[in-house]
Order: sequence, then C-alpha cells, then structure tokens
Amino acid sequence: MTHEPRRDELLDLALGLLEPAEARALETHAAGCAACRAELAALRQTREVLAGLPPIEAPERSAAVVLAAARQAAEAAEAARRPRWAAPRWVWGGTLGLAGAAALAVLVLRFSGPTAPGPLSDDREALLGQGAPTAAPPGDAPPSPAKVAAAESSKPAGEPPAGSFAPARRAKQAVGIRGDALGVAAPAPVSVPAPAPTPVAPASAPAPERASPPAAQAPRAELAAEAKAMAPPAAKMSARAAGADADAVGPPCRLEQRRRFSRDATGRVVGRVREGRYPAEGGEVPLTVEERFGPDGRLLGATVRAGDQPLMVTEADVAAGRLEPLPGVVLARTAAEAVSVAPRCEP
Amino acid sequence: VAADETDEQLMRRFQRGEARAFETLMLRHRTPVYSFLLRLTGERTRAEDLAQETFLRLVRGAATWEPRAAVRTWLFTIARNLAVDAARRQVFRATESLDATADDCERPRHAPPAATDPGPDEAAEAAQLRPKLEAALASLPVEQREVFLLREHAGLSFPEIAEATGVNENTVKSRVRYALLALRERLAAEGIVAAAAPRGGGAP
Repeated sequence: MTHEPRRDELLDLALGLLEPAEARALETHAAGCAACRAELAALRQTREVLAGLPPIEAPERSAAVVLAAARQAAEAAEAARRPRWAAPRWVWGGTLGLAGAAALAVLVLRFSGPTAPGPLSDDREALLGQGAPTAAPPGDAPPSPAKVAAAESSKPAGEPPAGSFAPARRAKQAVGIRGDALGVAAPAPVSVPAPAPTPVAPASAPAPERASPPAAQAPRAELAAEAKAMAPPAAKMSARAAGADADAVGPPCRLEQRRRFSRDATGRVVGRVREGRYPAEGGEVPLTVEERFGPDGRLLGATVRAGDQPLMVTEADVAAGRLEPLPGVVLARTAAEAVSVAPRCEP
Repeated sequence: VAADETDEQLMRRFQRGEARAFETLMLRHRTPVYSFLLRLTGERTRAEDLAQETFLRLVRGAATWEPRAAVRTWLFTIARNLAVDAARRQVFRATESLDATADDCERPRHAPPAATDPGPDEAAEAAQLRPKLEAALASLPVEQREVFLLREHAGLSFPEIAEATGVNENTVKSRVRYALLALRERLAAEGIVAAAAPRGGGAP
C-alpha cells in the first residue's frame, strides 16, 4: 500500500514530540510502510549527525559592555524600588525628560566617581572592562551606600527618612576599616554641597548623620589607593564601556582581565585572584592566578592554572624567590604589593 | 545566585536590582545566542555585535518583562529579529560565511586537550566533519536555517518559533522538515551519510 507519508506526524515523531501512544502507533505503521520508514529514517539520521555540531563559544570581550549596562540598570532599579512612590520610568533607559531635582540627585551621585559596589561586584570582583565604577575592588563596604543615599535623598521632602541613618554609619565604619588595612588615614567626611534638597529629618534625629551626600562621597577617597593601581586600563576601558562601541571593546589586558581580592573580617587582604588568558600552542588558554597572603601580609603561596594544569607555588618557592611560575606571570611578595601594582598585560 | 535557578527566576531577581542574576543569565545563554547568530549570519564580527545588542536589549527590556514570557524565547526572538534587520541592510555574503565558519571549526579553542577528549583518530575525524556540517548548514536558505537552528540548537518549540519568526506553525514545521531533508542530501553528496533510499513525496 502506498500513500503520502504523514509528514507532520513523522517530523514530530523524529523530534520526539509525540505522546508515547501516538509514537508507538506511528512506529508500527512506519515499520510496514516503505515511504514512511524512509522519511523517518532520513529525518532521524540527519538530526543525529547535525547534533554532533557543538556550539561555537562566544568571545569573551563583548560581555563587559553588557554587564556594565546590567549593573547600571540594576542599581537604578534598586534605587527606584526604595522610595514608596512608583519607580520613575527613566531609570530603565527611558527618557530623562521626567527627571526632577530628586532624579538628578541620583544621577549626579552615580556618575560622580567610583561608587561603592553594586550587586555585580558583591563578591569583590572587578572586571576591568566594566569601567571606573567597578575597577576599584570594593572590599568590605556595605552594598552601595551611594545608591542607598541617592535613593533616600530622592524621597519627597517631608517623608520620614526611615533607615536613612544606617548607611551613613556603615559607610564610616567601612572607611575606618579600610583605612587601617591600607595604612591610609580615613578621610574626614567633609561636607559636600548636596545637589538636591536634603530630606528633612525628624527633630529627634542626630544632626551630623543626617546629610547623605558625605556618606556617599566617603568611599571615593577610601577606594583611591586601589583605584590608583588600576587606573590606566580602567580609565581606558571606562570610555569604551560607556560608549558601548562594540569595535572598541578589545581585551584590555590579556594576562589580567579580572582582579579580585579576598579579605578577612578585619578587611586585610588575604588573597588575590587574577583571571586572564595565556598564550599557548594553537591559541590561548584561560589563566587563573591565585595568591594567598598571611596575616603579616607576606605571600604564602599561589596556584596558577593555565589551561587545565595547575602549578603550585609553595612557601619554599617564595622563600627562594621563585616568583615567576610562568613567563610574565609575576606574583606579588606582599598583599600591599598585590593591591598597588598595576596589571601586567603581556608575557 | 544559584546555578539551577530558572531563567525566569533570574530575571525577577534582576528586575529587583540584582545585577549578578543577569550575569548568570548571560553566562547561560551567551554561547547559544552567539552560535545561533554566527550560523545565521555567517560573519563573526556581525554575530558578536548582534549578540551584544541582543543582551543589551534584554537589559533595557527587563523592566517591562512579565513572567508569562519565557526568557529564552524572548532572547532568541530578539537575536533573530536583529539578524534579519541587519541582513536587510546588507545582503548575506554566502561565500564569506562558509570560509568564516570552516575556519572557526579548524582552530581548536583550548590548546591543551583535556584528558576526556576523544583519541587522536576520533578527534581528527570530528575535526574533518565539523566544517562539512557547518558548510551544509550554511548552504540552507536562511528561512530554513533559522527555524532549524531555533528548533534543534536553541530548543524552542514550534509555537515559540512561529511567534519568533512571525510565520504560522505549519510553515515552521515544513521548513524544519525541508531543512532536515536538504541537509541529508548535502551530507549524502559529501559521503557523510549513506545515499538516500528512494522515498515517496519529495519536497514540493
């Protein structure tokens, strides 16, 4: 018996989309029908062969621009979420036409310098390609005091600024810790003219902690030491990230595309992780350099992975001055050096 | 951010201001979206630009996204439409696309082969096969190629593909079928699969 194959159903069968009962019935039919059997076999076999085609890995470099945009959007979303009134539309990329004085305050604070870390960097990651705001490893500062302050200051005047004192206190505390850890004196929070009306605090509120802008500004000075170390590539990249120009976004630094610090409870740097690419036969391999520092800040050891092979740098290696496990991959002798030294980009 | 969270959960978190959720989302879909765009357009630079633009649109559209819509469908719809728009502005250059994809396959991505890699013979065979498969795919008319990729690589359902491409489901299904049969013919011509047995009902 010949007939036109039931193409739709055969395709569904070949793709595994039929219910088991339907599938069995059609299989039974196909077993006895040359046309249907041939079509089914052709579809299945082709599908199987093509399934051997793996995905083509996306190049790393285009991610930075998107992540920077995501980070900004997230910060804006979070800032917009805090006030009781509805989130302004512009924060997600709409027009600025609606922005009043309060909205401008958010913008001014956000773009006035390296702000405290947003959610993207809450594991203290710094992706160089994200530009200035994230270039400085944020350390233990509370999640974005600037953002909190901005949100608070954008509240309509007269609304009780509930919870608006905590960020100021936390920011100061963080400054203290970081100042100690880096051997840098914590800057006194000098008063900075507020770009927008400062929320009116209830009469009982402690006056010195009322104004939020100083709290937002404090982390700038506090991060300066680390920001300086990262400045050249970070500054270069920030323009690119902001411009969202796809062609301009190249790998800024091959050996070091990310730099991350881990700290102990007191804010002391106890580790640094650098991620990048390392040239190898036939291309490049991912490179990870993990350094561990002791309580006195001296290098204890390191693990270097280029591709899949880990290289261990032991305390004995460190003692013997063997600090270059791979050509161009140089370890820091101390935590202070790890924080201050500029990234080395080429082997 | 947990790795096993659904796209939709991640999107909700991102809407609430968690940029890390977006990073996870992007890591998850970057390579599939890029592969799709590269195979659709055949040009690496363009695929890269389009992939970046796709994710930027995802960022910008996040505020208005509602949990009813599957993130992946949305993502591939954006990618597909961007590619179509780009193609309208500039005719696809088929020959260049073949070169680009073939070249892409020959170069190993990570130089030191991991222990789990196939043996030399198998690897060599796969290395020879891949450019041929890419070329076969690239030889499909673009409307067949896009539905094939959306179905087989992106994993979208027929109704989702219909929505993404703006044609009805029956048309989508017949395009997938033609794509598979055309691929088979091409692979048979290359000797990769046995020549087709006579079959009833050719493609109209």
